[in-house]
Amino acid sequence: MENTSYIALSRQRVLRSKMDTITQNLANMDTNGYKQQNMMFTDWMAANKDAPFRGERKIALVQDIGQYRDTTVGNLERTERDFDVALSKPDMYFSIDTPNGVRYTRNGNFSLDPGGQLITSEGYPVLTDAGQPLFFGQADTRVTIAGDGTVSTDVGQVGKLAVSTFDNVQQLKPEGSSLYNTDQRPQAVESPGVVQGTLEKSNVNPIKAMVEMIDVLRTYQSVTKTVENENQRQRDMISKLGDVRA
Amino acid sequence: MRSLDIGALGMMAQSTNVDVTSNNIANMTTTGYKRQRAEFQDLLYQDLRRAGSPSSDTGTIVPVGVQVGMGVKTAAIGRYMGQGSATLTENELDVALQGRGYFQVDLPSGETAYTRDGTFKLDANGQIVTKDGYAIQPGITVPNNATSITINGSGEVYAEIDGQVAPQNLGQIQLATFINPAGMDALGDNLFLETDASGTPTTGTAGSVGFGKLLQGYLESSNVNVVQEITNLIKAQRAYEMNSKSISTTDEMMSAISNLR
Repeated sequence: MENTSYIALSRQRVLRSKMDTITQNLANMDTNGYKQQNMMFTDWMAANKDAPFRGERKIALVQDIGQYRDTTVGNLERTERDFDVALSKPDMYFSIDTPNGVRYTRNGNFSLDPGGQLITSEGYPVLTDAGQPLFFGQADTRVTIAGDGTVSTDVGQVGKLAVSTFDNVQQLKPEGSSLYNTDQRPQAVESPGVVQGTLEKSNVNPIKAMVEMIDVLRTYQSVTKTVENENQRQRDMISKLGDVRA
Repeated sequence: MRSLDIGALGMMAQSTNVDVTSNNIANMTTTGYKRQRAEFQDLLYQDLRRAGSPSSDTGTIVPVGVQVGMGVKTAAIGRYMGQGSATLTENELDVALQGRGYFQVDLPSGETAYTRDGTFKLDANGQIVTKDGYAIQPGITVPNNATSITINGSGEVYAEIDGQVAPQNLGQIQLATFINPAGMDALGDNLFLETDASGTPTTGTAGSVGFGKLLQGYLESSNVNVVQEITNLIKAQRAYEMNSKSISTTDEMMSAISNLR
């Protein structure tokens, strides 16, 4: 008898996590390299042995089975800064050396530390294809980063930025600070399409987010209405059936 | 619900964005000002359903988990060091810097500050000082009887003196460069201080390798692009509104629940 309420409850629970995801996308609208996230829902069949009719022996609850990232390339914004690099093709990542091991990012907002090392805005070194950090000298002016990630200065070639891809980019786990972690083996990319002096903005689609938000709210309200109606139905039933006059 | 906090963080990020953009617009005509930009990063994530965890006894695993992010943070407010355009002032003590480098200024505290604002003046002793009266390094004193001053591209200062045929060399303005100038600490008054992030200064003469050139009679304008800043302002405002919309939507969802009877 309680099934309607439970199904409604499971729907409300996933709608709330969907709302959390939409808000997260909107909050990160201006985050460099941020990828829009979407929830995936599925039904979850629960056995209902007590049901009198065969058709009612299974009820479908909703569960959030997983999530997928929209990995399309975000807007590329010109910044004219030498150490800002964007990846103009999807599913490729720069390698960053963090204290917890190598992490991957599409946020190419790099700068130099006092030692001339190329670092992220968190201060972690950016790695080359040889797995080494990249150093610049005081006299290295006119830094150019070519489309294949080769970094050169007046003096000559300094190194090549590591750009890699993975078998399953959906399995990259976001860790915050624009970094992703994975157990998969990185595969070097031949022509990564590195663009110097440009930053990749987020690929959040605000129109989609607003429409989804309205949809979530209205669905939530209608599910709430269903719970209310069900409650009313049960109350009526109790009062009518219970009202046994001797 | 998490989205209330996430939405609030989003609004805070956008208000930082508006602050930075307004500061750029306010400093549109500040000599040597370099525009700034707020850079954001996503905050940590919470695992609701961990990817790679077993989904059955037979060893199947969850391919993609459910991770809800916790919002956004300001990672850095970067300074964009691009060259500002040179504006003609025809003032013989105005010097624009083209390329890398900073003028060195003696602060009253004994520290050395760095600036790209080449609006120099003479003090009562004939010393070349900044607008605020701080002497430049190395100190250059112009004699009383000098009729005109010439500063060449490499920073050498010459004075024409009545009765002398050849101009007199008064000294050379030295420049300082930093490996990471964006990491300098802004002091206000167009002055910057060295920090751990900027690295130690390398001094040298203008025009040599790695140093910019000087241009007498000009000043370096700010590198603020007003059209870009106004566009940023509009974008930030809309983003702010959308984040506030997510808060009000969450609020409505919560009120739908609290009105249940």
